[in-house]
Amino acid sequence: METKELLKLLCAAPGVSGDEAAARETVKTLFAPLGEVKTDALGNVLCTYTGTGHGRKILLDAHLDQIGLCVLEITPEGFLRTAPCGGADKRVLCGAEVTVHGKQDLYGVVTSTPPHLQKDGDEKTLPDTVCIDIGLAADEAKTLVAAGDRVSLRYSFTELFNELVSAPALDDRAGIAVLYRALEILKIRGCGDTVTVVCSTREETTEGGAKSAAFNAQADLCIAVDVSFAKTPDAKAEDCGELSKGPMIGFAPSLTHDVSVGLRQIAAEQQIPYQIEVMGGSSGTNADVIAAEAGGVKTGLLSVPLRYMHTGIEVVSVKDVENTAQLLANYILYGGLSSC
Amino acid sequence: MLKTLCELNGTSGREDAVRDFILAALPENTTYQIDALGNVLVDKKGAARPKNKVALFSHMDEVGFIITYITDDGFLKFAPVGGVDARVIFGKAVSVGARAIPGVVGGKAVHQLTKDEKGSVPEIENMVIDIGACTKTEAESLVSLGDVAYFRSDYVEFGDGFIKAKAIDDRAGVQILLDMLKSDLPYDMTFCFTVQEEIGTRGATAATFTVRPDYALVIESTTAADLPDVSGHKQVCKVGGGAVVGFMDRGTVYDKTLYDFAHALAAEKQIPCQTKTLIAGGNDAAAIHKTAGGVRTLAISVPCRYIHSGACVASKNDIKSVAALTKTLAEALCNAENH
Repeated sequence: METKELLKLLCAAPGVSGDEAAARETVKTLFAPLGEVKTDALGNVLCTYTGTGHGRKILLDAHLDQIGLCVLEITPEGFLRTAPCGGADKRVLCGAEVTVHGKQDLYGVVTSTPPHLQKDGDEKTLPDTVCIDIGLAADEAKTLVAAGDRVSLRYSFTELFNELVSAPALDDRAGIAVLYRALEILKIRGCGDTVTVVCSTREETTEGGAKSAAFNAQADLCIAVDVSFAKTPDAKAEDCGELSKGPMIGFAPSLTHDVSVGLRQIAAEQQIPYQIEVMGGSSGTNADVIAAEAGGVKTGLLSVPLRYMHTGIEVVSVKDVENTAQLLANYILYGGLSSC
Repeated sequence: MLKTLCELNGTSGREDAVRDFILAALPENTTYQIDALGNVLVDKKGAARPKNKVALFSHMDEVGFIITYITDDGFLKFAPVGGVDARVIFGKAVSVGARAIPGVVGGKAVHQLTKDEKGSVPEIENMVIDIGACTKTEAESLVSLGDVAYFRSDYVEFGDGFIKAKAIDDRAGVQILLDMLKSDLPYDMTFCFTVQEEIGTRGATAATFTVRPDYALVIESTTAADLPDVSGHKQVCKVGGGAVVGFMDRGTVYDKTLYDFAHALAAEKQIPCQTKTLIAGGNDAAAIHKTAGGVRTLAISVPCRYIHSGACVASKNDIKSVAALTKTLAEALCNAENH
């Protein structure tokens, strides 16, 4: 499967934090040819490739869940009042199209107050509560939707120029695509290490999935693969990577410095384009919780640059996904031994 | 047909695709002219000659965007065409130019906002369209300044007889007029498909001067704010409440006799009909009623939530009610005694 098709397949299956069931089924099927697939108590999907030698135990993490909304109540008018589930960007919600994951999937539109009800200066202000219009009266709505049901930004997959693609949930299905591609390479190359991929749940809310997976894995080395900020015209260059310039190698106090250096070294040796992302404390990814788990795990972080994070129009470069997978696989094949 | 009409792109001044669709849909027993602005003015013979000349209006254009500048790194700056709320643009998908190049409107990530920036969306002048171009030169090979862009939005039926699409304002009106044109009419009538409503009801001014009707009916879509947390009169009108016939909006004080007559007729014919409970909105009536010596004018509108966004929501039953009232009222006015 081409990487673009892989991303399309992964983004099409919804998995708002804590309700990753549909996405879980997709990755279980996807990874089955690459190793032994299991799920655990927190709903993580694990795929283990058993190495040809007596190598290390390596854990590769990308999170399965995506940001969204969850239903708080059904209003007397039949609208769904919701709260964010994970850090959804409230700025994009007015008039956004969504899918409500009730007893069945329902189409909905996030309400927006018309301009005539706004006072001067109001036109930019965001509403306190977000309601969803599903076109049903309250009685009917209550038979299909209940409090706690998740809502995702409506799936659409768009190809832009220069092999960029746009879809909701590329954070972090792009990371899962990286793990899939990397595991394919490792299997073909007959990697000596035993590599477990975890598609972890609940990153956007509690990072609970990765923490549990790291405890169970007892790994010698972990690499987390997530997305990070790609430059947009309104952002500061020093706060961002750039799209299509290769994987961002994380350097942060919470990450294992030798791993970061090793990743950089392998990227340079193998002539894989890369960028350095430096963070002053923790990385804000699963890498932070994994590193401190099970007595401590040597942990690195690779990020796929992404524009418009936590919106329905997230954008990544297909080439960046492929280069991130190349770097990850090459690091395990050639770079990891000296540093770990 | 409404699906096709809504999915056509035609912002103010660029109504070509909608006009072509209308011309192709006109039945044989009609005559038409296209005026200098691009209005399509259609005459249809009925079974009898009317006492009064009745003209029906709907506008072909929709709100959208126009590309004003291309940045060095290949992003497109734009201005809105017509009134578009910044909050329904940010984070949405668009298509650019005649080739419908896909793009998205975004900015820096929510994580990177300052405290002040967090509670609001960026100004439209600070938003960009991203088509994936890397450089100004590359973008310029794909898009020209002055190209227009649209919300990228499909037609969806959902809930209890609801539809979602872009441009329900005013393709619902266009559809209603086309359906009437295809039916047998008891009297001769004139149908005006106008341009440039969204930037100040400009097409209707020219059309009315040419047509010189005795009565004008504007078939429109209007803001419904029947939402949670909006109470009482501020809801303006309700989706599912039937055809909207208001007495006054921000562009027009409607003919009181006509207003009363329309509501009485709707009641008599059992066509669901509602008024507007707030002086809000405006439409081609603003231009029509003051043109060429004055025209007695009324608007009949489809209540529409989230109007001027990519996800307008309306009810199929309301569209039927507007169509029914339009036909009944137009026929009655053709034969009305002048007063």
